[in-house]
Amino acid sequence: MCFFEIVSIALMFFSPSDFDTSLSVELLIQKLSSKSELDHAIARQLLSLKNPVVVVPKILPFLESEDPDIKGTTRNILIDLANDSKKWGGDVRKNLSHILIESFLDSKRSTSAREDILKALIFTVDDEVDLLPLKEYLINEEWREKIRTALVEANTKPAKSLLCDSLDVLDDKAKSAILLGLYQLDGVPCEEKVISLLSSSNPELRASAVLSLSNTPSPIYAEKIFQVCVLEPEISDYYQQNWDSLLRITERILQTGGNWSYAINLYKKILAFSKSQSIVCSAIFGLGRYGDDSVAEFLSELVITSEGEKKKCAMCALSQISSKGIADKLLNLCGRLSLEEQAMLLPGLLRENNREINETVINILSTPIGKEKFINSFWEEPNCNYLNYLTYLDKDITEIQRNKIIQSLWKYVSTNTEENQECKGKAYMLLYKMAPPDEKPYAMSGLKKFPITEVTQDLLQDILKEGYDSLPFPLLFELYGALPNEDERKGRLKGLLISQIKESSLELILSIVSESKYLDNFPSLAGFITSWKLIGPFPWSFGEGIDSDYGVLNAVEGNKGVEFRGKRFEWKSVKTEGWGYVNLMHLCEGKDEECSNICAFALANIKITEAQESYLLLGSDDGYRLWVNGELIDAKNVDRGMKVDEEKLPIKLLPGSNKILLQITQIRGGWNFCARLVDKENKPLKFEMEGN
Amino acid sequence: MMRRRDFLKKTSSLFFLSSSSYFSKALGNSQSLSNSVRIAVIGTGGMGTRHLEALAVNPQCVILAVCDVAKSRYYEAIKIVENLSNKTPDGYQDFRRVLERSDIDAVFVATPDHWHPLITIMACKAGKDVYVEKPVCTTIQEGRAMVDTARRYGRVVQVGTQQRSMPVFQKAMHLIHSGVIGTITSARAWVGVNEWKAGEKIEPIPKGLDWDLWLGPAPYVPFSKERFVGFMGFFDYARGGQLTNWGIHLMDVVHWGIQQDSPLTVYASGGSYRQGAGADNYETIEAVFEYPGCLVTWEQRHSSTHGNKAYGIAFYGTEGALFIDRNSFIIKPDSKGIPEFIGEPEKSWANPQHHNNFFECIRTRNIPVADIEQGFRSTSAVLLAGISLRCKRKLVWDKNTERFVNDSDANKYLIRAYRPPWHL
Repeated sequence: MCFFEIVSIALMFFSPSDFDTSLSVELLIQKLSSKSELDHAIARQLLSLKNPVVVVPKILPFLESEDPDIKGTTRNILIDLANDSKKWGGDVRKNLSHILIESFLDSKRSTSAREDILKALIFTVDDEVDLLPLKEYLINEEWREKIRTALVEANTKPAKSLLCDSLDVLDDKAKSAILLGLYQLDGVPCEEKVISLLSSSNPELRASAVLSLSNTPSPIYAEKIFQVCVLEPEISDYYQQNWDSLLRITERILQTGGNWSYAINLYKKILAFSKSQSIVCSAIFGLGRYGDDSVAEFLSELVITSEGEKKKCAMCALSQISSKGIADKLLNLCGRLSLEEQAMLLPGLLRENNREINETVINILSTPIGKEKFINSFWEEPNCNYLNYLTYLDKDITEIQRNKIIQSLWKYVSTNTEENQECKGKAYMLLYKMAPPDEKPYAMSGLKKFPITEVTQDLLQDILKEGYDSLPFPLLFELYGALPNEDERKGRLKGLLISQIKESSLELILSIVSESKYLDNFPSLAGFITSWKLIGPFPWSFGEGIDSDYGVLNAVEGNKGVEFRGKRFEWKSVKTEGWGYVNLMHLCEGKDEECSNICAFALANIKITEAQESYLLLGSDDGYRLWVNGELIDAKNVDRGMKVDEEKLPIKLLPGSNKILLQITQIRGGWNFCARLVDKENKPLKFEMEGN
Repeated sequence: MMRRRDFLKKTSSLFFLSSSSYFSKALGNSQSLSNSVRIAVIGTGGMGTRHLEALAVNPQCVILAVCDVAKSRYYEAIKIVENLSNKTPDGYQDFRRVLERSDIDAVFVATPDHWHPLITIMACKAGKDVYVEKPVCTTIQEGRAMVDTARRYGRVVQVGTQQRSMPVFQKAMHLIHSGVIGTITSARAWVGVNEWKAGEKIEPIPKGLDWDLWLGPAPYVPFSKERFVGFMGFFDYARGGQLTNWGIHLMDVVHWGIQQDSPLTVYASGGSYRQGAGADNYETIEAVFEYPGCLVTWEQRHSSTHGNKAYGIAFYGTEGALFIDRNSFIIKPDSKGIPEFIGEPEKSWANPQHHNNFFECIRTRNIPVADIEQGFRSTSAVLLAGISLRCKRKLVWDKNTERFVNDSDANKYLIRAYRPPWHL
């Protein structure tokens, strides 16, 4: 033993790092023959990084080892090197393939070693490597299956070519095996040969040929398969398999965007010709998955004319179609079905928003199967239409069903990309109602982001029971509106609302309340002056400024009318519209073309109990003048749209009655104003409207 | 149909009594026998037995048949069902005889992994609904064929990823989906190492075992106990040891939480650094998956622990993290004030809730909570990691074509040749 070898061996035991990458191939191979598992681990990891053309010939003898760990490690190194051979470049890889082929052909090697070599060969070959040397083994009965497996998994052009060539020389059983292999690969490499086998007298071979065509989305192949199917006797062991192949190719045509009409008609042909119930039902399901409106008609007819399983399949299929107007079709059909049958149509009914289905759905939900179907369908395909009916399910559901609904709601809110924000709000509302206490805060955070426009009495009572102090404005507003006037909690809610109006952005609030059915409650909550007397319109132009009062100032007391340029003007009482604005366009009596270069006056009588620092928050289109108790407070001659709270005008209000007079100008376009009273903290002022 | 009454002896053991006392509390709507789903269990080894123990006392079903390639196993299975339910199912060695019966509505598939796809596909074609154990398949081609067949035949197929029915996971998902930890940008799943060793001792085929049928679509090899009992250690029957054993459970939860089911890329690396270099599976593995907007890692290592959990999943969001296993979950930081949630202890891997969801969907014809498509995608993730491990490189995955991009070598791993006469 030379000094170098002694040191090397010593290093194996005393090296600071077990995995020394500088170890040579020879030293690593020595580790392979040791008894130590650690040595095998080192050998595997490091040899797998070396040049495979150098390593493979040297480790092949270890495949003959009796020690399972040595043999296994060697096999693994071989496969690692094969898998990683691409990185060494084309020549190395090609050389490696040849080494492996030659090694396989070496009959002195054991069967098990040759099997291991074959497994590695799969991962080194590409379209450039000729596999003809393996041909004789494909014909050899002992090796046929192993070679067939290797060629299928290698999946290269030479491999497919070899498989195809073997069809000329093998017996029927072996041919069938080859075809089953080809079936697993893309395309049909030897189309003519495979097609010729469709007319074989051997049913197994015929069925294998059908199978190998069925993955390719070709109508030509589909027609050929159809011919085989209709001629195959029902008692044949391959009857079902052939029809299944036809279903598969039909599906492939549709999945790859092929001829839709052809494929749909093919499904109908399968329905008509196949005698297998499961095949017929599958064709019906196919129509449901890929069908449109016209197919829906066909399926509806099938529901009416069929019985038993076929009818059930047609109902399931029909409920899968998502064409516009499907709900109407299903509704018509419901009239002919039992409640339990109608339950099967629920997903279709609820796929689009259609108020006509309400009664039908509610009836379906009264059955146990209807409930189960609803809950599971909501989980499967959550959409807004289900939300309306969830409240009908609140009673008489099990804990498991309740949990499923909650799960579905969380899924809906976290993945929903619908533009309808109201739906998301509804979902959070339902979560708040149904979720366990530790999840309610998360439902609440969701609620704060989305408007709610409907609160049922049940939901209302439930939320009020839980406590409402920390509720966000949208929900508070709905609760306030939904509560009857005599409910003592209404006052407290009002207080909470008013405090939120002070704190929150009014523009956001207006957008929320404008959608609410309780909108009428808002103006007084926000401190808007809602009752006015109007007089006008008087001729005016922007250029002359706002100087003339047309005699209106003298007509404020006693509701006296005004004469101007021979025309008589009287006060008219009006109320605000929407969230609290006055639309002056009504003074033009529909003659919009005459509704420009004019002005009008608005008078409000306000009563307060005590004097306090007050402000009039005003928005106007266009300009304005303001008098309070006869004193001119402010004026602005502008051309603008109305913006709520645009002007903040300090005013002195006296205890008792006060008169607020506004002159609003109109250049062109919209003509309106809004005015509300607040205290020094911007809180809506408490006041009464008097005698307007 | 075979019945071997002379082999059947009634036994009463504490084991069976304690099992039945647990499962007698199995939840589910009470149903008359006439409304029960009529089932068969195919594969009555370890996991199959767990299912039998739960199903035998579940009023929503009645076990009409049990099946195993080893007669001794199905004899035992018959005894188990008899003891728990006082009913005697028929026993079969060949699952095809089970599928031929028109009085069976659904089958439970608890065979070794390599049989999951074909039995599921054949059962669907025979008009049965299927509960199939995980991992659903050993190749992408198999999994896609399973999904396509289930849809084609309108069958309900539930995958045995029972965590989808466990309250501890459902609760965690509610919180994650409510945004409590913000937007999730990464996740991690971890478990211990693979411990399978190389080597097998070839023996004569035991009496009563149909070895050829056990092998099925896998290559023919001589019998060894190591293969028969330890199939998870062999590439021909299971594609990754813990990666496909626990990996699918944990990655399924990852998918659930991040609401994604298909990675964009995967890179896995690993090895057997101390022992097991000759085994089909690697001892230590790390895989990194890129999903849209999220990075996920899979770890298999010695002394694996995160958040005091020896296995589990962690979600890392912009506002906190959640650590979960089958016992409990915790949310960090503590300042969020969410106490640890402790679920009911798991007494068996066969979950009655998961079974009942399957039965309910059989009635309503809806997709179950662990539908085959979802199970396929969770299995795919770990299969892709296994392929990357073997190919030793980062792979880009196209979920629409279900192929690796520009990598014909890696694509070879997406199929496996089936031994005739078996085919997908």
